[in-house]
Amino acid sequence: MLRIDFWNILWTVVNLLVLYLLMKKFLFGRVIQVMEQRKALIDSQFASAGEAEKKALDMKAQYEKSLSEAKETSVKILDQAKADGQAEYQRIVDEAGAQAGQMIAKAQAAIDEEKKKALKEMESEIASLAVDAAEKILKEKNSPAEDQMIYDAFLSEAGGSNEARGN
Amino acid sequence: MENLAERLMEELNCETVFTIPVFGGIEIFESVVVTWIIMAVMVLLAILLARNLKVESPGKKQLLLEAGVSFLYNFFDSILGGKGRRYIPYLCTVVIYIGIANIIGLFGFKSPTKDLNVTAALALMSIVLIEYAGVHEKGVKKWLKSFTEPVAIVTPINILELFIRPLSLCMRLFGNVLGAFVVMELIKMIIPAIIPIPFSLYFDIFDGFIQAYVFVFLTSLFIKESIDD
Repeated sequence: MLRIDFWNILWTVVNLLVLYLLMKKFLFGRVIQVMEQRKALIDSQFASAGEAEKKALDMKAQYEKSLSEAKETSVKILDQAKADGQAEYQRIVDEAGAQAGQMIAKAQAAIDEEKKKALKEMESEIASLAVDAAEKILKEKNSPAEDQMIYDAFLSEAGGSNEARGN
Repeated sequence: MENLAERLMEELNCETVFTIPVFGGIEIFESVVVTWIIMAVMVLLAILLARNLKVESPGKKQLLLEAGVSFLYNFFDSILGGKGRRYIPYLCTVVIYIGIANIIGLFGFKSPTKDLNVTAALALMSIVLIEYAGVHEKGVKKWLKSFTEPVAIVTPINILELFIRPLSLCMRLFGNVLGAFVVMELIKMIIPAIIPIPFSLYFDIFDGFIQAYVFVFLTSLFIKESIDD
């Protein structure tokens, strides 16, 4: 029990060293290596996942930016179109107004011309009638009674032609 | 009573299993032979368990093995820190060896740790490792200087510690295993049935593991002390 023996201490030391080397080779070395490899793998996966997330966020921001830009552009285009339409409408309305005014003026002018023409015609007719009447009087040298008759005839003739024009 | 004393003595004596006939006969003690058996079991188990380890999707067996190894690693790592990481495999080996050696009595073998030669060898290796760690970390000059720290007057005590530390490690382990064994034998002699069960659980199993733990815990603590300052 209490026998100290140099050789047996030495054997135990050798045993322990051999055991240590074998255990390191077959157990700890392998297990630790595998665990470290796994840790490296997980780390790299985490890193790549983070990278992918960052990329996705970047893309999202870009997308949102372009979306808002598109919205802005569409609003701009709409406004432009509205303004254009308004201007075109205004232009058409103005043009139509001007045309209508022109047409009215032309019509007025035509009416005035017609009136003048009619008046002139009437005047010439009256003059010819007067000449006819005067001729008749001069030709026949009639009594006052006849004169009266001629005058009535003239008047009725003139009235007839006047009535016809009124119609 | 005499019978018991005889049996105890027989159990306590470390028998010579065989003698190598060189240098006037080198005796091989039973403890060394049992150590060989423990080594064979450990290495076989290690080879069987640590076969085909996979980085991805490990099996249940591998997960269990990794949990056990990382438990031991983390325990030593928390004591030693980064600089002492290289000594972890040795400490792990020793804690498993002492653990098995302490409870191998349950399987009918004589515990190697019941032999003073084995515990002396373990303690010797511990103190060599402790001082080696110091030299490796600081260099010879600083290591020698560390004996005079914190003040020069404690130098003799620091030198004495070189012998006290392994002696206490050796004797603590030896005494505990021996004491547990003697107590168990006495209990079994007085009441042979039922009653020894809880005592056996404590003295044979719990105490065995606790002593293995204490041995490597103190060794790693001393290593930490020598590589740290």
